[in-house]
Amino acid sequence: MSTREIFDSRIESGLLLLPTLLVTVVFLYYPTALAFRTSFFDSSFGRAEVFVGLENYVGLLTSSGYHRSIFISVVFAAVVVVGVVVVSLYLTFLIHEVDTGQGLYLISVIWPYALPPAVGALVFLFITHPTLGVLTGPIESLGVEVDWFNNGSQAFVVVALAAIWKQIGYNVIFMIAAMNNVPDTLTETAELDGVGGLRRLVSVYIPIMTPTIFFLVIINTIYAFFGTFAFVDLLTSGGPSNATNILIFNLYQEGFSFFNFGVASAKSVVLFVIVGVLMFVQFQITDRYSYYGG
Amino acid sequence: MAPTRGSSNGISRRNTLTTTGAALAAATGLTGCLGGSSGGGGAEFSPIAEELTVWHAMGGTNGETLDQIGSDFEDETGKPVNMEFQDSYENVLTNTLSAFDSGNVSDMLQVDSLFAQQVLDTDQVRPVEEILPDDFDSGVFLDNVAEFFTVDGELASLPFNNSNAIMYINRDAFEEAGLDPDDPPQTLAEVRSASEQLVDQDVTQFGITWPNHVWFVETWYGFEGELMTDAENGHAGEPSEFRTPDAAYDMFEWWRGMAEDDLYTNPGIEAWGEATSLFTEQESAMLLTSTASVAGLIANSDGFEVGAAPYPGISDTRVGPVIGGASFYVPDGLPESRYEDIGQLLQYMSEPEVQTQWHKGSGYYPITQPSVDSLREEGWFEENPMYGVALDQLQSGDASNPATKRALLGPARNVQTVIQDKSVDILNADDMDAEIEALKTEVEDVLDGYYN
Repeated sequence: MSTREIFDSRIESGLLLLPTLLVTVVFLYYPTALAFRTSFFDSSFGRAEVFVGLENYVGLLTSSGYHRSIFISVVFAAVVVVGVVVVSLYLTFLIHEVDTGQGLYLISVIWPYALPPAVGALVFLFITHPTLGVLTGPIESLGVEVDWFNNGSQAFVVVALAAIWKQIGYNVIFMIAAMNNVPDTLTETAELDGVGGLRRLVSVYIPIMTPTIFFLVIINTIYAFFGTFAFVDLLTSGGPSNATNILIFNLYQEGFSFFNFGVASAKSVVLFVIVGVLMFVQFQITDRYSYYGG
Repeated sequence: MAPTRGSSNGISRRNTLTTTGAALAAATGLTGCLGGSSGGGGAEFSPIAEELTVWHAMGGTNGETLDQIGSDFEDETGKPVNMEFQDSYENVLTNTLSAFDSGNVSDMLQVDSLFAQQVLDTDQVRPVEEILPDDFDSGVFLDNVAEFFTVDGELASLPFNNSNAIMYINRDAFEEAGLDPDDPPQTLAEVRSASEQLVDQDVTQFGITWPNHVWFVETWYGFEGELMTDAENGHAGEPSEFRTPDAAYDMFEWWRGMAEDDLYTNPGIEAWGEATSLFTEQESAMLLTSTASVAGLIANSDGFEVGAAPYPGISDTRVGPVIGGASFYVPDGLPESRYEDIGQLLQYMSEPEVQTQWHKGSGYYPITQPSVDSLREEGWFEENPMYGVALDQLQSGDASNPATKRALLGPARNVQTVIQDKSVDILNADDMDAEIEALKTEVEDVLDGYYN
């Protein structure tokens, strides 16, 4: 890494960095440290804090409910990440291939991303509501009884679908840019060789797009773990029977509904570690397999 | 063709930095709010503003009525009041916690009866009985109301908006199905047969619905005269046992049967609005919900006539309903000079005229005897019989029976969530008894975690 000499003095550059550093420390590192500290205390609504050492963590290790929440979160993240990437790639490809009205298609695909998550969740609620939903009738005529207020697997599917739908726009923005960067000569060569349609997507475009796709996988993973809170909160509140109680909702409930701040902090530390490890693994893979040209 | 290892690390490093930053931000965004909370009594607080500040959770028309009460008080006494809407009971509680931490607290807090014990356990509130003027007669509150809000012989908080659960019926649907709307079902078995008749004749899609909320389970326990926990539902000490009497098994078995046969539909956990729309859209002919919904239901029932009926009991036993709703708490440790003003506002809020105004403007029932008397005198209940049903149900309840006192539990919200979640399990499981046992164990674990 080379250091670029833009500023004459270190003090000047330090001063310019100060606002950013201050905000980061006050709103990021200080709360992180505080949460870490609180995780070693029995701390609840307005009662005196008692130091309990690792008790909160031991509690989590032995709680079958929490294990289930971890399992659900991992499966949920996998479904959302795979779902988002696959659907977005396919949609991007279709938009890329179409000759007229590309802009219109793009806008309609990106539009859900512009909605606040809470609005998106409510839209989904009214579309799929078991008794009042617009789509409920047509789906039930296919022989499926829509009952996701009681049926855990159905609730999981609904929340996952909503989460995927919301994130597609973001992915398409990046993917269309990457796909447009694929040299036309490659496309022409492929077409001359008789490589058409989906085959061209899988064998030509995707390998070249790997840096973008890996970047999106990481962003989508973070999204699946943290950004899907609103869907769970508004659609299912973690239910039925905790079938959609992913870690981020679980920790919110512990902290702000049950007011067990100690346990909630321990949960946030665990969640942070899980996602941290996942990030690390993904970066290892990214560096090994990504194609950066040259 | 095969992707190769990147030769230009610049791109990947930049990505690394931005995404790690994003991950960290996302991970700590929530945890940051979970700051440490200092506890224990004896803290000194300063008021938020010069004026009296009241944090409440009343939105919509109820909030407007409350604002009106505040400005009427100002007109009468010259003391301004800020009624500040905090969006929900949970937010009032969360904000109070941060207020206790920061030292600037609101003068009055509207706390849902569900959270009462948690607030009492902070040791940071002063019983309102010590604040109310000496000439205030705390005997004016209806027995059932006063019973719940009295702790250790003292009125701990000022009861204000209180309600209980009743059953609403679609009178037109009842008539169409050949049922007598003037003789609505009184027990769960009767609800079932009425539902069968309604659904079999295609009058409505479902017989009955109600939000999956612990209050309804509590109300069934109350009418049956069964305690939910030991230590008199937490009013006489620290509870450790969750009781599952035979009546609870009967209730869950009925609930399961109704769900299996599509006579009942589950609107979702705490789905008050959904349940009400199922009723107003005429998908369900019966609805269990709060008495505070009377006004809204009458306004929204297009094309059919709503009737109100007492809550159906598990059996013929009718001991009494449990009270829901909220009361006003006052923090301890404010400058002494403020307590006189606060006492004056508390007293004002329980005056018969104010209670009557509140009742008419909200549907919560009048909770002082003088207010009930004056409403009766002006013939209000004859003109508005639905309001009368709720009050009669309350007053016919046996206030001295501990089962009619709503559970007062430290980890109330946690217990509530367990009961609501497990109810769904109980509805779906093959082995109902095992799930009820699991419910008992889970609630007792939560109680144990809080008290020990």
